[in-house]
Amino acid sequence: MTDKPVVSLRNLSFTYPGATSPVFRDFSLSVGGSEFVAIVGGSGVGKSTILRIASGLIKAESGTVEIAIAKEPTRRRRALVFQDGRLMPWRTVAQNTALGLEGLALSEAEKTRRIADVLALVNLSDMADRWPHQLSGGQVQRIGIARALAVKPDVLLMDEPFSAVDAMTRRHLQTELVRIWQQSGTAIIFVTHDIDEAAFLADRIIVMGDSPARIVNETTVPVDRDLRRDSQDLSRYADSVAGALDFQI
Amino acid sequence: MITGTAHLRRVALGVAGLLTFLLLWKATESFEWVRRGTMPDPLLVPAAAMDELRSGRFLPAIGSSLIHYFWGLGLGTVMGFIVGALAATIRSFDDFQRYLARVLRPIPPLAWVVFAIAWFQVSHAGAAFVISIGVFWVNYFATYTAVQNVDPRYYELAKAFGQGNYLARSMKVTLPAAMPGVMGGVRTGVGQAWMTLIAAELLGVPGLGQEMNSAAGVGAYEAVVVYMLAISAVYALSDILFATVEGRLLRWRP
Repeated sequence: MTDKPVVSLRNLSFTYPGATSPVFRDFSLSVGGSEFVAIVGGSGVGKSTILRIASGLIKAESGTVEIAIAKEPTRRRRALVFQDGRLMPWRTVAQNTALGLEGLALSEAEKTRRIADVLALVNLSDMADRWPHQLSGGQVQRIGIARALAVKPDVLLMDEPFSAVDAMTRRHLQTELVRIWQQSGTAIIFVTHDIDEAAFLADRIIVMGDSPARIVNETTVPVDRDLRRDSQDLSRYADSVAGALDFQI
Repeated sequence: MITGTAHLRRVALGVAGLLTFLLLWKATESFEWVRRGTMPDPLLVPAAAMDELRSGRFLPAIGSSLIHYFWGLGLGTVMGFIVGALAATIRSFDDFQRYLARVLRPIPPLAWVVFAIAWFQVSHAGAAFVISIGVFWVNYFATYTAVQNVDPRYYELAKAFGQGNYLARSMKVTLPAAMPGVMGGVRTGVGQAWMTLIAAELLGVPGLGQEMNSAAGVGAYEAVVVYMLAISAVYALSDILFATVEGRLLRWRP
């Protein structure tokens, strides 16, 4: 962990309705102020559920979610990026981006400025008036990221956001995400099933496994970000994570 | 993409269909395939239209029909939408109205004419009341179904971005997501209202239906056709108007 924790998940346990045993038990994770943490694990270990608990969409059976930074009327402390992009088809790109700003103590001018800023950040300024059906899969994902960044969150929660796009687009979006993260300085918890993706993006990779699930491996990736795409070292870290996962499967 | 030639062909076929209908109609009248004197002559309809226009009854009849049409349509649409939306979003209200809806729904709007006359006499209000009942049920079911079918992932999205309370959910998800289904109901209601209107007017409320009934009573069947065509024209106009509004509201659809 690089900084003082901005978000701390402590001893989270969760049982799906109707299930007899918890999907994970006593799961704890702290993420620093501008840290990029990836969570990997097999299907059904509850990776997405952890994000949903962290985002406040569902409640854990036990445990707490603590966000170190106090609430502010002009920001939201956490924002979720969905696997399917999930834009509202009846809203334009700009209106979708504004969703989280509605209800915040912001003037119309400030809202407009924020929307323009985040659309510029994801290189989609010229798409502001488009409808979602006019966008490609990669553009939908980038708008999903812009919508989340518009609320200036302390932590960005990303649920397999690139799993539904083709390999070329995924590679491009990964590079874009690193640039956006470096510019925004937001902490990120990124759930993925792709080990190479986790190794390319993250400062730290958490491997979930076992039943009930827990953290079975934690790997720090100290490789320089500018060298990551072709780094042999990166493969070594990815292999280490894969080894931990294989052991579970 | 429809080419110019294909478009012309479609128009030509449509005109051919109309002409075939007119020919069959004229043949039925000329060869007396139905009881003599009961089939209007299509060639006399334009003259009958001029007579009705000159009589001073035609335009007031349309105006009168439109008054109870719009009141009945408006009331039925708004009430059907509100009750349908509340039933679909508030579980206790849904339970509360469930059996009542099952009891009242099968009763045809025209069955309420007796009470409409008793409560409102033969008046615009009575006709509007009867019209509104049919329109209400169309909109109630369309709205109920549309709201229930809203993709729950949008509610999750709204909640994740701080729009989770009932009002925010309703305005930012339920209403826009259900709008295509709701508009489908409104459009059906626009047609349903005309059907009920004419039936209600046959019982004495002033308007196109009553004029049609009077003309039929004296065997002026060409005049009956004039009023039938007037209904068709007014309905077509209201449908075009509605399609324009719908296109504007749902411009986000592919």
